[in-house]
Amino acid sequence: MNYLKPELLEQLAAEYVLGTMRGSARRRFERLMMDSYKARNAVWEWEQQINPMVEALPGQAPPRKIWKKIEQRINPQQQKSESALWFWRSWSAVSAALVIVLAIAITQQTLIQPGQPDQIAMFNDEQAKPLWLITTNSRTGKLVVKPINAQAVAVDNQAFELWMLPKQGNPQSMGLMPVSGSAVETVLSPQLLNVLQNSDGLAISLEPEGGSPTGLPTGPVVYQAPIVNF
Amino acid sequence: MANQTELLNLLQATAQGDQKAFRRLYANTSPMLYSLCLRMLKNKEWAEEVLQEAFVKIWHHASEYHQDRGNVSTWLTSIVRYRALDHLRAHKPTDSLDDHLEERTSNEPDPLNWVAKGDELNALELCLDQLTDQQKQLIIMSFVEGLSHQELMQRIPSPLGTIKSWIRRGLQSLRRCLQA
Repeated sequence: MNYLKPELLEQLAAEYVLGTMRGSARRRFERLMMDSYKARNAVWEWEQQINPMVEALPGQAPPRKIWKKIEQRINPQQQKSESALWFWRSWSAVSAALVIVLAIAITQQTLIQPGQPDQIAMFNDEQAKPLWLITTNSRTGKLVVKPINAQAVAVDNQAFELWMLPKQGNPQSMGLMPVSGSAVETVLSPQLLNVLQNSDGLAISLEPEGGSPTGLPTGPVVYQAPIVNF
Repeated sequence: MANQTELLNLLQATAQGDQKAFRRLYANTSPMLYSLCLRMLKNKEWAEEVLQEAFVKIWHHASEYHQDRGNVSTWLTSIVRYRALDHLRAHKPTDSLDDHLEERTSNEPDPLNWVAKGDELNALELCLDQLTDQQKQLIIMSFVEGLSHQELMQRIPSPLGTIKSWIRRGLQSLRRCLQA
């Protein structure tokens, strides 16, 4: 069959777009489209002619779960993180206990000096391997974030943002988390320090590069950790 | 639905990896496209699956859109329709007709009763009105419901050759009218 005769190509393209071209004829035409710009162009023209028909249909909102599934599929990290969150929650008691044991071990070995950290939070992945260690000193406000294995969970073009979770009110940003390199130090303002003292814990959300544009978490909360005092 | 300029901005941002823009693109276009999926597949589960797959594809291929493909709605509609047609080919429709859905959609407005929205639709509507009743019905049913020649024969009982000829002539007339 000579596909390249314009009238025939036009006819085939129309039936391809309409969907009445089926089976092996459809597959053959798809192969032709891969080779021939004329065939692709004929299809694109027909799409523009008849696709507006869809606008005559009464719209129907899809169930909400569809967007959730799309979101998970386009962002495997989030899916992984959600399972990490689930894992973390189910093991939170165990992890917290381990952190407390660690804290006790530290306090037994060294007497806490003024200026030394007296609060600790550890973020773990789903295998309970540490990702970040955060220490603070509740008097000086010094906060140290040490990335341990965070590079392994880094996402291209996205940033991890650290949040305090006050007992009341909205999460408060504490800045972006480093994913590699050495520990980063900062000093919290008295106001933020006060929020931290009254927080239930810390959380990390996945945000656009540069952090949340709204001042509140816009991406999924991917990790959580309690604050342990010692 | 948002206008095409706004959809183009959202699609361009989506191509840059902006998930918030993609979410807005989805919010703006998914009701129309889901409605199409339900009519073509007549099965809620399949419609959800096809919509999901189509939007995953849109996310990954957003940068491949160009103006030769028509406006953004046209491009999105093509992705959804071809995905739905592939799905219909892979599954025997008679195995999974969702009776409940069939009953429900049949109570909705007849696709032949147009709700004119854009200029392109207006032109298409006018040109479809120039066709014979059979030509118009066959073209709308195959587009909106994804029916094959055999299925169209059950709706408008006529020999296969006649059905094919009506569609062919209908498409030719439609094209002449739209290009006039």
